[in-house]
Amino acid sequence: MRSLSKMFVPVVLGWAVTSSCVAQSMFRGNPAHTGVYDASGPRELKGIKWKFATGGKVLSSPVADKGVIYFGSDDHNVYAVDAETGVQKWKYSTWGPVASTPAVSDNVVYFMSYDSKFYAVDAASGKTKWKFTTEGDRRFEAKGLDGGQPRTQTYVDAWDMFQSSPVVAQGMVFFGCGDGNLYALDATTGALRWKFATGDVVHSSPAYDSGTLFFGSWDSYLYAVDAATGQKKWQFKTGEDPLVHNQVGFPGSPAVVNGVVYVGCRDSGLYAVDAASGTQKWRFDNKGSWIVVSPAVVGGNILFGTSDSGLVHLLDATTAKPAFDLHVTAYDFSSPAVAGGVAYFGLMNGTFVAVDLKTGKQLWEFQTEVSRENLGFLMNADKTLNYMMLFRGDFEQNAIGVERLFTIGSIASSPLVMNGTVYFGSTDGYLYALQ
Amino acid sequence: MRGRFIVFCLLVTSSGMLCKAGEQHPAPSGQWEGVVQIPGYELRVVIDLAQKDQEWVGSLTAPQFGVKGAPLVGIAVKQSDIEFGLKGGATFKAHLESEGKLIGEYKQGGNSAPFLLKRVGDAHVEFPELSSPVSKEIQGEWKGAVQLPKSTINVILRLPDGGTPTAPGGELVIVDSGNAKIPITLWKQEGDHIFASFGDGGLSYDGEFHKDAAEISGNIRTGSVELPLTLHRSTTNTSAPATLAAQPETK
Repeated sequence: MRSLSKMFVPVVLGWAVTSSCVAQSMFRGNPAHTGVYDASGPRELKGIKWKFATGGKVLSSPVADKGVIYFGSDDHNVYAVDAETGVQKWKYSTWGPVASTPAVSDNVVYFMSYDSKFYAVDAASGKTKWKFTTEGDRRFEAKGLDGGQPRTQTYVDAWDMFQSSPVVAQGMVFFGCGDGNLYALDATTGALRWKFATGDVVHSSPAYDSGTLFFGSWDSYLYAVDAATGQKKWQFKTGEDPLVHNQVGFPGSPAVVNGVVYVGCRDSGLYAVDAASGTQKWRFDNKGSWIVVSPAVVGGNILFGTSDSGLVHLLDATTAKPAFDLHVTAYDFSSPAVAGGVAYFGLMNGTFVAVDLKTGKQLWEFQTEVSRENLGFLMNADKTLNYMMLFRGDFEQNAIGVERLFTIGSIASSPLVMNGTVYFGSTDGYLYALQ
Repeated sequence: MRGRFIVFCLLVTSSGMLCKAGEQHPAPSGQWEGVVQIPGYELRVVIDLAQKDQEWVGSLTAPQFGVKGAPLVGIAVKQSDIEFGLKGGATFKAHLESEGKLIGEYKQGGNSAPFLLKRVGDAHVEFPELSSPVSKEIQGEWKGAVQLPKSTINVILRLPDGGTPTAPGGELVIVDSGNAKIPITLWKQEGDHIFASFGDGGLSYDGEFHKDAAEISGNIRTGSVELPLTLHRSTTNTSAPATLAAQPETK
């Protein structure tokens, strides 16, 4: 982020919100998952408004409803915290890490836990309304993953760190699961309305637009499913990687705007797909580097970060022509939030940045305390990741290396912007409120 | 001249107040954040300390250990020295520095490590969840069996009257493990929904009370293993049965 590879073409004619339904009560701000917030965030960083300590990594993204922030933690809890003061209102304990982002609708908080249950909890009291047991969540896994030795061994993909986040529409709540299904439950009773089976893990969060759900699976397909019936409308094939299973699957979620589905993929493509027909409009090639984040769609442009390439791209939504590329210091797993012409996102080196989308200039940077300490020299002096110290050997690359990376307070959570404050979680265990 | 005298008096008064304040010991109330310097490992902790009803209360959060709000026990404050511990034996002994630092020694398992905590804000002490009373209609003895792939484990759930919010009473008896008794440490009842946590919390039962059928149906859980367990009211209130004469129905 220190250097910007190119200077920026003035890109945005208007920072109009692209979705008619804008809220802060679900992942990416609205059912279409545009990542655009009808709010103002800090253009200048005054400091930490408050920070709230949990007992585990916060990979879940915060959402807000009626002045209360809701989010999950790896300590198995979902928290309700006062947005102004950071004081806990309640916590709800599950039996597994909660890496999904809650959705709040009609005073009910919905979320998924790694205990394989999906929960509906009263937003005011934190009491259970109902629970639904899935066929079992799990992370993506494959034999010889990432070149692991021996090749016949099955390895769990530690980079598959998010769970699917629910979206609420038509009286139902929809979410994906590691059991390969997309579920539709009655939002009031928790009764199963339908489930749609795919060929592998679904940790992509379904986007909803005009009666259709759009989501990706680790089976390499992007799906469009009728929300009322669960019938498939179309499926769209993306890349595969039968050798090391690295360049395949959808960790992130689509955004749907003006009849086009925009989604990033581990095959290094950012796709624009016609929402009605499932035909490809264009594919942006990120040249081998994953696109984990869910793109933000704003002012006729697509904003998304990447992993190894350390680039954040702004593309024209119609032509895929790059408006600008930003060089950032580390992997970007934090889906950008856009508010008032400013993009906010975190990086895996424990920094969080605000970028003016008109000028392409970084407005400010925040760094978690553990990131500043840089224990074990996990970062180089310029804050880029020190791969030699992070990933020591093939076998441990996935599990131990990722856990080691988390110790510097990685920010993979997608920010929430509200009332001049930006909220996000970190793997240092805190939820931060910056103003 | 009179004005100067007033200023002089104010200065004398305020300096006296400062001296008096200087003699007081700083209070350890607040949220403290820092690191325990275990060799080769930095354990980050957040300690919340406060006074409630003139007693010191506190909780510990350690994100690296998945711990949120573990209650502090044995909190003792003597002037600027403070001591507290965790269930399981870990202890913290510290001296409170006037500039908002808590410096001391952490001991666990016969090992010790220095720590330094800084006061970062007001205390948000997390209190252990309190148990609800066991309703009359559910009090008594319940029997059931957990079906494992190659065996069956018979259990008895005892739910007595007279529990308190912090000591709910009652126990789970694992009949097929030598009648091992595991105390109920948390009991929650909301309508017909019940939840019991046993021992250190690693074992729990989540179920629904069906009054008409005189049964509780639910799941017993340890770690990621969750198995169905249906309990039926025991016809014989044995205090510690060596064997189960009549096997309970599990379906």
